[in-house]
Amino acid sequence: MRRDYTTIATDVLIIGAGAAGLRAAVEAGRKGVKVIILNKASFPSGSSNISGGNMQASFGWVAGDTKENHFRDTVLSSKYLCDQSLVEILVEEAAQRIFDLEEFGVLFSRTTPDRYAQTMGGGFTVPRSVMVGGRCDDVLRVLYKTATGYGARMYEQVMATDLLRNQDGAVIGATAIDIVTGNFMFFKARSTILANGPCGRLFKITANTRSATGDGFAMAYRCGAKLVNMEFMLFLPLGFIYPEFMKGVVLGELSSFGENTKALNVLGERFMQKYAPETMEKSTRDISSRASYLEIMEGRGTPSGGIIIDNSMNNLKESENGPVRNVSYYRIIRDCLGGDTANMKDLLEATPTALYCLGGIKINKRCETSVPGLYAAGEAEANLHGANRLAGNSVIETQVFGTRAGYYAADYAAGVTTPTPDPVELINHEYEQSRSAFDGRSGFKPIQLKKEIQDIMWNKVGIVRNGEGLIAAIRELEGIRQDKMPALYLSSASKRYNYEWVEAMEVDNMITVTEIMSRCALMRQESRGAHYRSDFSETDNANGLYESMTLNQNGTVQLSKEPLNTSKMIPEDAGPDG
Amino acid sequence: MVKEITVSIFRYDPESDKHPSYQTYSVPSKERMLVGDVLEYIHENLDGSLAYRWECRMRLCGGCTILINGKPGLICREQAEPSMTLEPLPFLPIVRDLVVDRKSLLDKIYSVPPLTRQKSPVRLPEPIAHEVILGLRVPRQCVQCLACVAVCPATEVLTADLFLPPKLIQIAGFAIDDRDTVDRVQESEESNLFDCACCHACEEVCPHEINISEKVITALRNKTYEHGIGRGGRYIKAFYDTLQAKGKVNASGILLRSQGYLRAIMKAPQGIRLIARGKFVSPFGKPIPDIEDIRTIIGPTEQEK
Ligand SMILES: Cc1cc2nc3c(=O)[nH]c(=O)nc-3n(C[C@H](O)[C@H](O)[C@H](O)COP(=O)(O)OP(=O)(O)OC[C@H]3O[C@@H](n4cnc5c(N)ncnc54)[C@H](O)[C@@H]3O)c2cc1C
Ligand code: SF4
Ligand code: SF4
Ligand code: FES
Repeated sequence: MRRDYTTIATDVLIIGAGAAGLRAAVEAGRKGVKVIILNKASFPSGSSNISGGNMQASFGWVAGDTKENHFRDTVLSSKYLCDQSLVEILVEEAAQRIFDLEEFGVLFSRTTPDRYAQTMGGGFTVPRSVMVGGRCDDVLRVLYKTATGYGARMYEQVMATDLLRNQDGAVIGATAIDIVTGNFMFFKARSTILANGPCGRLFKITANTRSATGDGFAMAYRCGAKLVNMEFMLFLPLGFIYPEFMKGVVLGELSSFGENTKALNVLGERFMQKYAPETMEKSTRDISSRASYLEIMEGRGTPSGGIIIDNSMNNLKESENGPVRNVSYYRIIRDCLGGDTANMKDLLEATPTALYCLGGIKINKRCETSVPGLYAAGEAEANLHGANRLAGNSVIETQVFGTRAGYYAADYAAGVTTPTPDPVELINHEYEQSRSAFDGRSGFKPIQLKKEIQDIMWNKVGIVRNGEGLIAAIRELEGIRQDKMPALYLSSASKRYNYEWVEAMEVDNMITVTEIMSRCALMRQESRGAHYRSDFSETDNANGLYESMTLNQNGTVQLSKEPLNTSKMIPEDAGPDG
Repeated sequence: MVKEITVSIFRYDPESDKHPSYQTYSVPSKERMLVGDVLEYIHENLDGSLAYRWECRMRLCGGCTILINGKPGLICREQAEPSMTLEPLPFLPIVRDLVVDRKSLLDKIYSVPPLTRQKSPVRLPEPIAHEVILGLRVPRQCVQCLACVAVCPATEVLTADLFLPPKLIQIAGFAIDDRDTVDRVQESEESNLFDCACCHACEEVCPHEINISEKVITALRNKTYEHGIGRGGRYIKAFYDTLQAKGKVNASGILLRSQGYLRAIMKAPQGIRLIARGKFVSPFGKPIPDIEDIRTIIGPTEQEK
């Protein structure tokens, strides 16, 4: 029996309306194919919308600003764990993609009328990041208008639940739930692009938005696409600690307030002394995140579970925005924590926070995944950044690889000529699956399991990991999957904007991705970039220079160590961590 | 003793409920609580069936706006109060509880055409003056949260042919851009630019503190005046003629003083509604080329007295 669903056919289906998905929509739309974009949240959303909008590109305007330097900085920052063939593309195409955005109508900040302002970041040889006044939301609106101008159509508040494949194993679209009406939909597509961004919501404390539960990684894994480097998660040292609702929202970086910022534990000690006596508060963000995390985990955090930022020694200029350069941040701090805190007269409490998923769906230069008909772009894809990412290399990644994904997915779609009948069996199965949450009557609410998962990940698969903890985490996650997930129930039978229902589907994805992350972290017996093992605290170039690969073998996670693409720079001088 | 927040929340599922109702919850109060905290507490501990929306927590998605004690606000921005009534934004179809369907308004707002050049730029970066960028930046901070729409008296006055501050804000995001070839003057007039009463109510609720009456409305009006007395002026003159015919010139000044009064007008007949529009006469930005013509027609404005 055919279940009650709507089929909508398109040439290219894009899942996720962040900067990557929208850029792909522009490019595919330009090629004249029909494009549909699904977005779980209401538009605009995702990391792109809240990002600082720094985008690295080499324009060669200042001495030393070369593509080679951009390449080198990126590879060094990755601790040699990136795919250098992708980095080559990034540095080659970045400037052109910035010009595209300007053509679409983005207003880049300038130093002179015809030169973009470019800022510095940790690990840059020269200032290289352009920006849009410190925000990125306008970039999304400009891209949205451009994409719809080329005929792309967006379905917002529609959550993709799974990818479907035909007998040949090629992806033929996705099933989805319209969160507003609860309707079940099948988006039939000749090619599909996963652009659903990050997965910070796997962790208790994150800067990511509500929709960042890693659905794309889980969907890709389920349909047989390879994931790489999933053990690498990037954290920032300073996020809000309260109000609870704001927990994890970015406050800034230790170096962003001034020269004399002091980071203190509850005993008043400048704890960076222990971890990085030379660089102290000016250390890179992985090192300062790790230090703060350890202080908190070892009981030297504040009662609210944070560290203390003291800016009183900074000679702060009084200005309209206070010392916080970014006026939006200033206002949020002012309204949540008070004017004196925003002006850095009061001490600031902060916690490290999960920011960015360095791992992701394995792509080649054409953004093809290992499954035919499936493409990936943006934060969903990997491996551009290896073990650590330079600031400002990610929004530009969405542009460079979004463009490529759109271009090649449109080409592929044009080549698919045989009509695909609805795979009714598969759709029915998905339909039942998605509604099964409504059958439960008692047990666990999705939010309870979500919180359990987030706690496990934060405590055991977080900024500092060790073998014992990782094994425990895998066991606990397994327990949730086996014992608790079948006992899910929802408070309301309504299908209309029932976020518990959305969360039930998210929990399923979260369990899949967290298990993969924990297993990869267990496999990597060394410390490198964002991945730190207290039981293997050294970087091990003899054994660690591999790309960790995850594949779904009939429902079980299969891991392997794959050789790295080191076409241009050989990791002989891959120095110690730092 | 734990202090409690008492919150009464609008509940309605259009598929199953005949009428909306209000449900009261008690939430333990903490230091530094946002409205979002109260809703999350309810979701996690008291009632998972309550529908509300959020995404970014940074005032950037615009999706979390509701009415908090009758005033539009973002749940990621407004502080919780000991006693609160939470309701969905008015004038939009209700999806469920606090979630409304914003599509009809967002489509109108996004219908503003993007930057449209004569031809593709040959040289990039295109030269743009810093001041122009700064000027365009202000309206481009709007996140379409619709808080201003919910307080704007002019929006309420005209329902058929909607006056939407965020739509004009979108237009203002291109208006002073020399590269742009779209007739933004016509566009803003068609979007009822002259309906704004410059009452500043929108600015009080805007999460990005956009100075709408000055940076958007006045900027756009100035732009229309660049076309001589032009369309804007003709509009004013027509309005004046109407007033004179009805002999209510003085009344308009009084009417326009308070937003409360304006709200009362919203249900009044057409003739009085037109008077409400009269407030547009006063907030001239820079003097327009034909200002004297208008001044002699209308007489001194409120502000000048
Ligand atoms: C606070 C913050 C600041 C940052 N600042 C910078 C910076 O200055 N420079 C830089 O380079 N990088 C920065 N980053 C990182 C960068 O912003 C992101 O990596 C990038 O924007 C990701 O873009 P994306 O399009 O891949 O994903 P996103 O922008 O996250 O978009 C993904 C979209 O997919 C949707 N989605 C998710 N699941 C589903 C589903 N199942 N079905 C349908 N849709 C779904 C989501 O709703 C979301 O809108 C920052 C990140 C954060 C969090
Ligand atoms: S100033 Fe204008 S736009 Fe703002 S609320 Fe008043 S009438 Fe509406
Ligand atoms: S102007 Fe301000 S209040 Fe109005 S929609 Fe934009 S951001 Fe919201
Ligand atoms: S959650 Fe996005 S504006 Fe409030």
